[in-house]
Amino acid sequence: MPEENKKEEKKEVFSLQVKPEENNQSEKSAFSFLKNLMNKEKGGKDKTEITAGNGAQGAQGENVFTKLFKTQPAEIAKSKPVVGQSAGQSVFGPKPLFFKAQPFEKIVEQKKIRNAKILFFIIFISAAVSLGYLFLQLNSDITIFGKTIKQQFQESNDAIIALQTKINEMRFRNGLMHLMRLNFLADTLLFHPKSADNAKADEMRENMKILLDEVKKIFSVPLAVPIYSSTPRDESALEEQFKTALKDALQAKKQTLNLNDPKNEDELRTLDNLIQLTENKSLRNFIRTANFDVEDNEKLNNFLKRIRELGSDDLSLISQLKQARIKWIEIINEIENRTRMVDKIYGQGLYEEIGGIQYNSYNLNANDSSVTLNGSVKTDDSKTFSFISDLIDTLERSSMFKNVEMRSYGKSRAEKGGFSGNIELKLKLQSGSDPADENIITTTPK
Amino acid sequence: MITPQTQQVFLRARNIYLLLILFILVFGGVFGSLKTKELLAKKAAIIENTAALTSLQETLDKNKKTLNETTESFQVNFKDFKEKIGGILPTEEKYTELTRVLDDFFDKNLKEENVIIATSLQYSTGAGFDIKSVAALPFSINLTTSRENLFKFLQFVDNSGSLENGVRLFDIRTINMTLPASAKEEITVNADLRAFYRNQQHGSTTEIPTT
Repeated sequence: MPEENKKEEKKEVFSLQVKPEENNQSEKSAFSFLKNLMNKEKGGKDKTEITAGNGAQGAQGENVFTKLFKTQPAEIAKSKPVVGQSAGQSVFGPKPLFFKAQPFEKIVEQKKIRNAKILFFIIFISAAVSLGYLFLQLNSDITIFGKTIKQQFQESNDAIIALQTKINEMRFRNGLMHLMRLNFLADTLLFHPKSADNAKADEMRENMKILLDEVKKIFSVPLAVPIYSSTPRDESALEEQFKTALKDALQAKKQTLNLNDPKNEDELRTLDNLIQLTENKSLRNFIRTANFDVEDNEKLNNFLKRIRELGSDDLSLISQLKQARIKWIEIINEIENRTRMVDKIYGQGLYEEIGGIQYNSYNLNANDSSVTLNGSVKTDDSKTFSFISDLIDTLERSSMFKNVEMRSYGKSRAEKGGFSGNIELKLKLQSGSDPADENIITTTPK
Repeated sequence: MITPQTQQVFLRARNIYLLLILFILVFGGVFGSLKTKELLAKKAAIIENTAALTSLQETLDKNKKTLNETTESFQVNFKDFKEKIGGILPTEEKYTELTRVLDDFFDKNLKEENVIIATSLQYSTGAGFDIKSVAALPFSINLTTSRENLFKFLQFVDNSGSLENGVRLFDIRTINMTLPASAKEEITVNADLRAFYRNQQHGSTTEIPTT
């Protein structure tokens, strides 16, 4: 389309160019207005065509040109030509030369487009440079132009976290020592009360209250301090971040120490305790929220026991391990006491002569809290099985045993009279109360 | 004169450039203003952090001073506390120390009329435990003992781990006793025990697998 327009333009541009050689219809039609004009002058009588540039015959009568120039067309043709004109050329004079010049409007439009293009590139480059600078400063780690804002921001935040972590470590070391002193005093007061008289016990309690207040102050201060962040964060997330930072710092210190060097044992133990304390949120929360300003010694003792239960320092761990330990001596004593309730002469070495109950072996197992008693019974009457049942029931009534079972009974007549049988009692260690303790009553009178 | 078609072409080209310019201005303006705000905010934050660091350093110095005072007081008042803790709950297996403790007990209680003899003592490898940061060293012992000394041994185990005696903390997992017909005769005891220590896993306090 543009090419056709260009062709049309060319046609338009060159439409006025006069060519004497050509004598075609298009040229004739181009000057039809002149022809008409001339015919009108004549009154329309003479329709002889006037063609341009070929010295064609003009009207025989007068026309506008003869009037204008006072010459006949032939005379015009013979007249002196202007530049470029040869003999026998157009009535319009010598052929003008036209340059291939574009229309003025097109030039203007093209200039506008060029200006728009230049403006676009200027704005584009400016925007690219500005945004590139912002992106470089805020999102990049390229240090061609020095540290970026992103790096500086991160470094300043990291410095805050590192310094606050050191402060937290100092505070926790302080708190740990207070807790150890507290546990040491509590160990005497709670677990060895006879070693302290009343006055000493009161003094210890006062010291413990002071220590508890100190520890409470330490754990009431949050681990976190405000730091700037690109995204909004709540307090708990920040607290968790600082807790992790503290734990990582303590772990890193542990790694620098040689485990096999005895000189490091103390510091390793302390670091271990600190790490446990950092993770022990329940203990810190308990201390933070409890009110230790109590007059009641029982309440204070309960606080101390609770701290021991929740604690993760050495003394608390020792206390927890001791609490979990089974006191086998008490178990054996209870077995023997219960047996004596059924067999009055148990343990006096009179089994062979009189009879009663004799144990051959005890098997005590803390893994499944079970006890197995193997032995034999001897009765002077045939109620050996009832005797065994009495033993089972008596053991069941004990608050230390439950699920006492022996489901297979056997007896034989003894040579010297009476009956004997073997026993294999299986029972479980009881913790807490058992409803069966109160319900079973022996039916065999003794 | 230019044709209408040509004029349209020129207009279209000009409009495209103008639209692109507008787009860049709008997008660049919005994005740029947001990022500029962020940049200025971060610069201000850096300045404030620098001031906060100074304040934190002062707090750190105060806490260091307090800690030094507490440590001094603790070391004076609880001089042997750490030694006893180290004996009750050491930081490694230390089975040779434990052997000496047991031998010492058996030797003290061995009497002619009241025997207690450990006929064998065997240690396994320490392993993790239910309580985090504590490990257990399993060992088994065979005893020939009088009834009286058996009860003394059971009491000795129950009293272990006390700050008063500083004895290594251990417990009995299983105990099998073969009882003689007469109370005066000796009892044969086979027991499985555990001695506890701090689990010093290097660089972590995670539990090691239990055996």
